[in-house]
Amino acid sequence: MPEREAIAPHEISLAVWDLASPVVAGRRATLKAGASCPSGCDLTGTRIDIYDESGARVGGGRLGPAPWPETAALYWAELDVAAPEGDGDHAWSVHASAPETLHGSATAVVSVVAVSPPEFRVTVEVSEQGSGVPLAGVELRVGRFRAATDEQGHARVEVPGGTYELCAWKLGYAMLSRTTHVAADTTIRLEVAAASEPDQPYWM
Amino acid sequence: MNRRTFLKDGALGVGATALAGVAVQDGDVAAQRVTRWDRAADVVIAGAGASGLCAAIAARDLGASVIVVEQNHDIGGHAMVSGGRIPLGGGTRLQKKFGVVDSADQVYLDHTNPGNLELRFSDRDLVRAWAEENAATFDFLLDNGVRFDEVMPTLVNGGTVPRLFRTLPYSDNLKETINGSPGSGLVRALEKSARAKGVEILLRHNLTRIVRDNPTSGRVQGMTATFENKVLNVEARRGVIIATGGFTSNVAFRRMFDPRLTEEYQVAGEPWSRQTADGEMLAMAIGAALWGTSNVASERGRTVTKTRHIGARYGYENLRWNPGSPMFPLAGGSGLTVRSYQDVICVNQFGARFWNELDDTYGFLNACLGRHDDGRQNGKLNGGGPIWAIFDAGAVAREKWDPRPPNVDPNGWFFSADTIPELARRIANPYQVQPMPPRNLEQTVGTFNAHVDAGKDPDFGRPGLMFKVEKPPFHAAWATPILHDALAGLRINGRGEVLDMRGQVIAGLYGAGESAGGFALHGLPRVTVFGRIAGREAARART
Repeated sequence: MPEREAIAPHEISLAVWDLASPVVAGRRATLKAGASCPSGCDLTGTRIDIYDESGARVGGGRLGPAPWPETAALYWAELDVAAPEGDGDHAWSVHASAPETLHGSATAVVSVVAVSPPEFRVTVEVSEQGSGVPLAGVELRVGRFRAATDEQGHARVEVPGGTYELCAWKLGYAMLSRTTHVAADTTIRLEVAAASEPDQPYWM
Repeated sequence: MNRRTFLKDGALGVGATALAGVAVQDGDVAAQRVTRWDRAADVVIAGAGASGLCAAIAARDLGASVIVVEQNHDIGGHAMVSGGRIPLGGGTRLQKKFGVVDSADQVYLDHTNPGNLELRFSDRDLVRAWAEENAATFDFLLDNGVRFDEVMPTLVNGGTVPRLFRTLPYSDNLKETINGSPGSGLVRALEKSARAKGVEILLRHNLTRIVRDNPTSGRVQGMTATFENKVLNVEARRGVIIATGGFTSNVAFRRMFDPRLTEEYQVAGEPWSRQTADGEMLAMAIGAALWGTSNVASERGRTVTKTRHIGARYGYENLRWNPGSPMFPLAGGSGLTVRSYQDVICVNQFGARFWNELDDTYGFLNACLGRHDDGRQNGKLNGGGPIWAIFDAGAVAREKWDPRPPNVDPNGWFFSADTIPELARRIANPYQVQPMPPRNLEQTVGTFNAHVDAGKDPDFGRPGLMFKVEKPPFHAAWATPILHDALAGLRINGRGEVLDMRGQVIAGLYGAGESAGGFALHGLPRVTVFGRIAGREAARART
């Protein structure tokens, strides 16, 4: 009987995204996970398992039948996971294993921040310095919590009580940061200044 | 028979070494001999850029016959694709038109301020001569057809008086302007004027030798150039002007000043024109000195710059290649203009972050040029190797990028993939001498994303972390620093004469533009003024 030539398995790899951070300890959360084969193979049905640091499975599922937009062949799924019971920094291990032998398995590690349930609502209103025009699309950080302003220049973040570093940034504007203490529902108004643009266009 | 006639007639039965008593190799002397001149002019200029064209017109205006040899297939040099910024003062006609009061003294004081970190290492003899000729040179440009954007001038270079005017692009024809840059309005207007006045320009001629009476003594007689492998000996009855445009494209030469500037660093202005150091090296071969060499590594100005248009080979901040440019097939891509480095992380060839990407100082550039290895000395010993900007679909959306050709150059300068490990495997570039380890890049991105979660970058102190690199597809874009200014060059005096290493004038040899050193001023104001000075002085030279 002729010796069968060994075929090296295709090396798949993973992407994990859209885990809303931080997650609230003990609640459910979602993330997206995708796997890709450099040969563009169809990975529909590939099994995804998510484990916490102790090795306990906290979620998983199987990849769907269509690649993620604009990718060559990243088969993906939105997966339900159980957030850690205690607050703090955690790491989940995301494991992919294809249903057939042509493809190997892959593992990726994703960081997870779990926090206590929020107590207070912080409303941030952002406008442009000088003009006073409300600014949409301003990225905000309140400690580890993040949000972006809406068309009215407003953003809402729910946080546990405490002292936070508040940071606001939008493309084309200078970064603004300040320290704020939250002990009740509160509204914070910020004015951000336009950053200086180059004094000449990019010659073309 | 004087010595020049003797040489010219080819009556060299005796070696020039013996005549001059200079101890050099016989072979060198033989190489130095020119027994027949193919062409002759009063003033012969190497380089048809902003400096050489000013020199040509200035010499011609005094009645000298002028031949200009140019390496490129067209005139203009780097100035053609420049921003056309010409901050000259001292009371120019346009300054007066806008009611700006200025003087040569004030120009001198502004450019010799010891607090000016960029200019304080300059030779003040040169700055004084330059200041005296500011206004006359600006008006000379106007008189030769250069058109400026006539708006109130602005302050630049630490000056106390508004001086910055910009030229207007020469036309809307990219074949004429090459990239639509304002600098085309300077050099095309000067070319037109020079040709109308009778200057002869020989394109595609490479300067190969400066001919001097003796290898390191005597007067400069002319130059040798090659055109289509044929040698052309050009006699200069009054002077040779070196206006070849600097050395930035010459890796060996630029490393004399900063050994870190190895081959992976690309050059602003390329691929249109190259700064090959020909003028400097050939002048040094006949004894010329360099000047102001510390300016190259003073960490001021634009010797090394942070790349602004990533994902293409040439990403200098003020030069974005237009897909309609006749040079675009060589440029390869326009690049994605980074409005904020908040949207990317920068990694080295091993896939590791190395600095706060938001830093726009020389701190970032030094980190790029620093030692990058994998901890086992597997990296380059000199130069930092390629720097790649890594980003995701979220960054593409925020920056409103279209990461496809012609914006990016997938032929070695831009890569995309579904996952981070796959992205690392795809990176292949002439300067990426070993594959980027996929695990390294995956770990780097994972660590950075954890820092974003935490809101702090303990590794490099990047402030205000906002965005993870997590959403597919992923991209790697060439973001290696790009070089610009040659802030050192041949030693000249205030008359544009080149000096030797003993400080003596080399009779008949002049220098101007980026190939002249000693004045660390960026760009066109320096090269236009000294071009005009050199042309004038060469035309006046007594032989």
